[in-house]
Amino acid sequence: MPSSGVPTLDGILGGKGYPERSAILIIGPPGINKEDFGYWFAKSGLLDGDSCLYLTRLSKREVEEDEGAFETTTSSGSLVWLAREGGEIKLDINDLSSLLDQVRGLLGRSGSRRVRIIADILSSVLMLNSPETAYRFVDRLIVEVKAHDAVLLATMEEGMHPIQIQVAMQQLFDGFIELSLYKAGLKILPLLRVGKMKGANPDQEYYTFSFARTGIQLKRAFLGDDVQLGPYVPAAEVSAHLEPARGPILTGPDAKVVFDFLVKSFIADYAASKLAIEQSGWRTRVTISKATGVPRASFYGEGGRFGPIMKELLSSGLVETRFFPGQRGRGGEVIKVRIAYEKELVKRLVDNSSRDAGGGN
Amino acid sequence: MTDIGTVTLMVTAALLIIQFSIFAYTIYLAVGIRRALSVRPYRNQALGIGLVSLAWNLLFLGGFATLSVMHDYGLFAAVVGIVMIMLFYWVDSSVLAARKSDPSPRDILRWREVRIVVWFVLVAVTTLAISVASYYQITTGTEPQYIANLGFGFGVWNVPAFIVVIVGAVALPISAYRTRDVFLRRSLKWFAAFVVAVALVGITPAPIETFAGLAIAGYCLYRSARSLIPHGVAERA
Repeated sequence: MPSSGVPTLDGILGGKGYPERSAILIIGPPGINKEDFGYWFAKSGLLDGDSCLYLTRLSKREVEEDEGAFETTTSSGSLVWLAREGGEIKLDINDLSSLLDQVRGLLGRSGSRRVRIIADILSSVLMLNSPETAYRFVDRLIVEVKAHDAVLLATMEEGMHPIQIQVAMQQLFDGFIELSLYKAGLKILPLLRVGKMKGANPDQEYYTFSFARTGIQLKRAFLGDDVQLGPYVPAAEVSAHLEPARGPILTGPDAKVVFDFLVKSFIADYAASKLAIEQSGWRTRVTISKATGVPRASFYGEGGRFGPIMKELLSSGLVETRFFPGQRGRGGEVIKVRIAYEKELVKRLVDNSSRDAGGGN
Repeated sequence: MTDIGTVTLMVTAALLIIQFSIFAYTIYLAVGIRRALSVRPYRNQALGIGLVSLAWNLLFLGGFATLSVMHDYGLFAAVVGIVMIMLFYWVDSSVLAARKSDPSPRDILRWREVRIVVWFVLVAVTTLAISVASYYQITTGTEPQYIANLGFGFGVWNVPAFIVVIVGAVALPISAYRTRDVFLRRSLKWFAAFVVAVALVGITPAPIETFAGLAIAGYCLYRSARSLIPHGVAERA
């Protein structure tokens, strides 16, 4: 299996890296440095003797100048650039059929060598083309990847596309890794989570990460009222930690009751009331308390903080909160809670619930 | 009358404290965001918001100290110059960040070349403005009105401000239009609200309205910084 170039991430992925003949999506907000995962993936490939295709909407020089992250790979003959300027092949994001032909041709010429494709063009493709055209292009690109001995690592900007497109892309790819910023009190942390990975059972845990010249370092992040960080985790330790099957995510019975209620609320809003995904499932803590019979004290902590059930749900990553301004509540805004539907695990749970509900009828 | 005067003073003092607290927290938040991000243009933009917040406090306190207490127009020109350099740092970093998130990365107004020229001109003009204001302060220190009317009749220290405002007013709307980054757009919108609030403060002479306006301006700047944090995983306030 091709290493991600980040030993700790390889550990999280089961110790070996990305699956063979797969397409992996790295999704995160602008500025969080998704590209660095591509750089390390390419570096690792070049060291392993693989061929690399770098598809970029920027010029080759801009990528090379990016924090100097690519300096060790530029001398390798097995790296081919499809760039806006300066690459071996000029990349035209408005001509997707030609682009696909170029990639197909390069894959065909790779012979028996494994090819690693790194692409930062996905968001541009989605923005400059109709969703159908872009979707068809990505689909065909993934088909080409699987027809050859290749692995595609694409980055996608969070917040630049409608949630439906983001979810569609997550489903199209064999795996996706979420990068996000987490604000807890006065701290702001970059977080990583493996949402889905073909052939692996990702642990759905959050890791905070930092970049260094020697690589990307990950630390386990325990999200709660105060974020607790574990030590830097060596890859072997992560693998060992992940080998045993993980227990249930929610340990408290009340938390399970609340989560089930939130799942039903989401399904009711989305399926029955035909609300859009982004509007579905939001409930206030008071409403949840009344509906489930779980005491309000479990939702509210001291000094405006969250109570124990909220902490458990939030730290599990299964729910999300949002401020709704202009509504009744403290300070003219109210916090609502719902299931974190974009998370792969939650999606599976919702699907199961929907199936169970259907079976019951 | 005494009671009303005391109440007015207390309200003004409270608003002043609120204003400085908001601006101080904005600086803290901006630095925190900068540390959490990794890509240089975005890190610089977050830092730029912190610098604007710092610059605003510097202008407020430094302006009061140099004009009302020290009556030194040379120092005032230096304060304004430094503030404008900080403000332009934010404009520059915002335009570069917007280019980074443009789907077909277009160089807005050939910004990568223009910015070097603007930086050079801004630093040169600021140096000149400080020198001219200092010279007249030393030679004709008793005639501050004369110094105030140097430089297009608006005060020589205003010349760097003209450059920053004009360049920012042209480049930033284009950047906001071209970028597809909703976080950046939201941040720029709140920054525009900050500018409007500051402009409104400029036309009110009453201290309570002034400090209330400044507190609102501070809140807008805080929201501009906060907009750079995407609503990702369970966000905590």
